[in-house]
Amino acid sequence: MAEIRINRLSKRFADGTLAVSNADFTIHDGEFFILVGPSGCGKSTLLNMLVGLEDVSEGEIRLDGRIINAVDPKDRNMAMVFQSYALYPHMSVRENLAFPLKLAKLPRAEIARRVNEAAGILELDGLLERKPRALSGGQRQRVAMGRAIVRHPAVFLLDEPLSNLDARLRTQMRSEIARIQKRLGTTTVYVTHDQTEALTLGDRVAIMREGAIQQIGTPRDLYRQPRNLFVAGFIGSPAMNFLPATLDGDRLRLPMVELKPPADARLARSGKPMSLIAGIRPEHFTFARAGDMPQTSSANFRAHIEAVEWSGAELYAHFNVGRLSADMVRSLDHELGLDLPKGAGSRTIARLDPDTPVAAGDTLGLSLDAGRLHLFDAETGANLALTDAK
Amino acid sequence: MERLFWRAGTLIVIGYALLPVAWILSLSLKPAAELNEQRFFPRTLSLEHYRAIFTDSQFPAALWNSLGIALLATLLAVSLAMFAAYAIVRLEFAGKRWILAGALSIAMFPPIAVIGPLFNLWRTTGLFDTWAGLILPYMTFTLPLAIWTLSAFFRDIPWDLDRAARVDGASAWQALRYVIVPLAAPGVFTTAILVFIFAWNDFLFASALTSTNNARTVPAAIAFFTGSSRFELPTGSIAAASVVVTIPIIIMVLVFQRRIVTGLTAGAVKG
Repeated sequence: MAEIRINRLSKRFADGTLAVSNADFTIHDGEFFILVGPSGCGKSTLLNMLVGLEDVSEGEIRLDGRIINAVDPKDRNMAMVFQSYALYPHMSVRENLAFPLKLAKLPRAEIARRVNEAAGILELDGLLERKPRALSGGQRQRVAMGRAIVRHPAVFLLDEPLSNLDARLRTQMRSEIARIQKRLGTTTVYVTHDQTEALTLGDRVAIMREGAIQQIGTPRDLYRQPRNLFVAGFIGSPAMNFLPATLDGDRLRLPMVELKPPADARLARSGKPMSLIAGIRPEHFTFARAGDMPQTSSANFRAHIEAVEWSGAELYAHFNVGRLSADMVRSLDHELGLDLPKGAGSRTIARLDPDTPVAAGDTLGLSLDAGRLHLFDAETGANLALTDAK
Repeated sequence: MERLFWRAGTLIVIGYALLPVAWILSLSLKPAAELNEQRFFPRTLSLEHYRAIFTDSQFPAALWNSLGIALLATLLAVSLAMFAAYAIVRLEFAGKRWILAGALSIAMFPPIAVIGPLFNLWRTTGLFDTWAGLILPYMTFTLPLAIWTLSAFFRDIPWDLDRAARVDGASAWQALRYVIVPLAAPGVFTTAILVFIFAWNDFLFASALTSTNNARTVPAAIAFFTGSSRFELPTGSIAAASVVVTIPIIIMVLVFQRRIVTGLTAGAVKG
């Protein structure tokens, strides 16, 4: 039973860098909460402040209403899984699991019971007498998890727990972590740089960038209604496509089509044309056979396909639409760190049905679902459909 | 074929290194009359030289001095170096590089160059022919050695473990006691052995800065052995003393080698 209230929390390091700035949110009891962002965005620093390994510069952290800013890590009743696992190499698996319980001065029988219970949950039964160096990566990961759950802590904190595993094990451990968390119902804060982990695991996700929280919401919210260019580009794989767009009166001009702007976009409809960035996810393109009638909210166009990626279940077609303006390159650079070459064409990816008859070099009729178009301010990167809704 | 080559090579090297030792052992066990017989294996075994060096007052005193001075120098050097190495590895502070560079340059400085001034200095300050008078100069080479080896060892300790222990409910002291110390111990013991051997074997400072049984160590004392007459070389006694003086080193290494488990930290972090 634990609710974490983070109140205007900031961290400034001795050298002046602002690692976390003004974070303000609540993690509910029993929630699986994810902190996600590119490396160096301050997510690990925030986690370390929660557990007490890093001092708080400003603001407060409340655990069930009690301010814990100055509480020693050992007294916070939080368990942490480190990216490096941080197993004690001179202790066997059993001793590793028992270590937090010994420190808590539990009776010996209770320690044995809890260690066996944790070993059962994590399927470590046969490994209890081994030393960490005799374990595989996945087994070490389980031991690290086990050491966290034996204590029945108020909160689990996981710092990129899967990033040292190979792809197959990562998927397997991911569902295992989700299963364990659901079973124990413990409030969990999970730090990762992998948006897939964030979407699949999280009840709610907070996206961080350069120390500032960009958006907090359910994975669906973040995917469907990204608040700004950064969130839009970070969530989703392959990433959202960004195209230069011009709003001129009642027409929205994209490099390949002209549309009516979406009704919900609150746009300043002044007389002169306005430059925007339009975003569209790869799955919102569809293959349009010649002669098909355009659907009401779609726009058809023809694209010269440059590359095709076929992976069995899906097919990705790459094509170029016009050139990016210097302004847009600068804006995308800043928002997404894309590092585009000057004058680059905008490489667009469409996710199509795997049976679509297409090869590199073909010209293909595509249709774009205009209802799914996002419009971003070219200067601030804010999603224009959402600016007032926030 | 290759194994044979390596085995033969190993045997040659060991033989080359141990032959003089075996020769000294053989000399120390020969009775005085047979010392000049040029045979490798003594015809009759006798412990008379060992009896002789231990009945003389000089050698037991030197042995005591050697043990005390080398142990104290080791203890001081290793405990000071532990703090220094910890700071160098864990903390960010100005002049960190200079401490390491300074330690190295002191170790490279030829000790013979300071013997003269040190002799005069020690005479005036009263440190001449005392334990402290030897321990202090020993620190000039044991401390840099200890700082360098210890910082190399400390650098390999996964310090995430310290944080993990704190989150697991350990106080700062318990984290040190249960997690860091067991991991640092092999490095500390290895360093201690190295430092002890250096201090134990020193001849230069010991012969120049001592004059009596007050502080003269074994390597220096052996040089002052005299025969029973002015026409006799104390070969037998020297050999016996040399054998005795190597025994503590052998014991040290045998006792501690079990604790120098390399690769102890393997498996702590990553996969």
